[in-house]
Amino acid sequence: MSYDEVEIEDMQWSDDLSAFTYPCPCGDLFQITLDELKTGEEIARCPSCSLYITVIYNPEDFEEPPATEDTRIPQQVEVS
Amino acid sequence: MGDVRTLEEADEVWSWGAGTSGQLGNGKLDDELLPKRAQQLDEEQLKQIACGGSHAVGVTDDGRVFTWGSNPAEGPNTFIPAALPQPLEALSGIKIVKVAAGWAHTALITDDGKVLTYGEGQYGQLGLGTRSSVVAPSVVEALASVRAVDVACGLRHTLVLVEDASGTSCVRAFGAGKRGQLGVSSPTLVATRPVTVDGLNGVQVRAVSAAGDHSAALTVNGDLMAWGRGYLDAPDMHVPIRIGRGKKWSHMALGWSHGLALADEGGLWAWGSNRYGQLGTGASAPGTLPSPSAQLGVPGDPSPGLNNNHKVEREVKGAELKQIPFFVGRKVTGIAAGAEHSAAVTDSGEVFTWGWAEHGQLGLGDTQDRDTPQLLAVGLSPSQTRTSAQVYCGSGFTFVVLRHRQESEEAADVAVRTG
Repeated sequence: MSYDEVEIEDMQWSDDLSAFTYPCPCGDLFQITLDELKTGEEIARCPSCSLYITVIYNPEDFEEPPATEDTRIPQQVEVS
Repeated sequence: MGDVRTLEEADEVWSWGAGTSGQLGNGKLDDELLPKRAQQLDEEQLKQIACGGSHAVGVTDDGRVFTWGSNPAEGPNTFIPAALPQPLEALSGIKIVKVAAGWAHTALITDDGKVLTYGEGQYGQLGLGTRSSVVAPSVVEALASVRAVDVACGLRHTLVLVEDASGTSCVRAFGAGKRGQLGVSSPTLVATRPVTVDGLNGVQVRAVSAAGDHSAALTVNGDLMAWGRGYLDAPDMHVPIRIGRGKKWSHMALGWSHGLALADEGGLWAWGSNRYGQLGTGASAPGTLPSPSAQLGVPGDPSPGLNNNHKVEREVKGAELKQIPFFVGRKVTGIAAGAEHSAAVTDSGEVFTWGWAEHGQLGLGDTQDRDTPQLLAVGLSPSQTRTSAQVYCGSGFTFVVLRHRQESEEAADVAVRTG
């Protein structure tokens, strides 16, 4: 059972991990990569524990390969 | 005849749970399923420890600050693990009296009532007017004209209880506000500078608390107010709503999806999610004891101002407080909540944990969740010799500071010399 549902706009992009991340209650980060989003994956997992979250996003936003990574990153929190 | 001090007090600092960022402060980067000593802190006479997502901050009686775990470094979203406590050099010469830790940010109150923040700032949670992260503690200038008396950090937001020259309280908030955790009625996704929490006008607040995406305040009258993300599947609360009616409360602690509150008359109560057993009420017995929140319209309620406000009058789903039967007849003196686990200490110096255990954060030697409080085997000294026990929870880890009487010859020598 998913720990939580999180909108992609509330996730943070990590260059180091090449993934969108969100805090996991264990202290690590739930992670989902751009490639996973392109294939329609909606589960972001924590590498340190059994928990995972369901990521809410519009698959169309991730269908095309990005021209540059920057333009593909949704502006967090400002999207209503 | 003066007091002859025959015993000396000493601290033992212990930690357990998630530790891969060094947040246990014991020199290692590993999880610990059983309490281990964070011995370096024993001598520092800690007044308080604030535990965040994967970092912790300790304040000493004389105002010095130590940090350990995931520490912010120069560069975007850059954090460096520190396995042992280090003095926060940037604060040398500044006395700190209180500290709070969020997911990846820290807020401190100086002895003259100023607020300093540092760490992750992308959501405005530093209150510095930007969305930038900051490595060195920086003064929140917007609060310079008032005196801060309490501070609390949630995942991505910060609450500061301030008092003006006349002593009137006001709760200010900054950071992420999407779930209502800033307590302002107008939709606010992000506040990079302090905003005033609505609905607490005329209410004298004595403490604030925050975790995850929700917030709480305790008034001097003992009323408990909550706002932010709704409990269970309830709607978010964008302004403070009074919960736990019918009782007066002395302490509170928030997890990411649950809360704990100590009643003035004694008794530990809990509300919110019980998914991992963090309410401690036992799986089979939730709500079997009277719920204070169900007792509406209690005669003689000394808070007419709150009751006249229809915004705080309605019932809050998921926020009905349930008494933890285990603590009936025990005197709880301290409480703490991690993301999904809970801890309490009693006047007999005993330490109890319950809730989520996947990283060993209950300190019971395994990763089995518990839905009722469990007595913890922790400390070298017998619990009877403890003069105080303090407990603190981070997201997936737990700290205790056990202060005990030391009946050693050295202590006796000291007593003779100083007596």
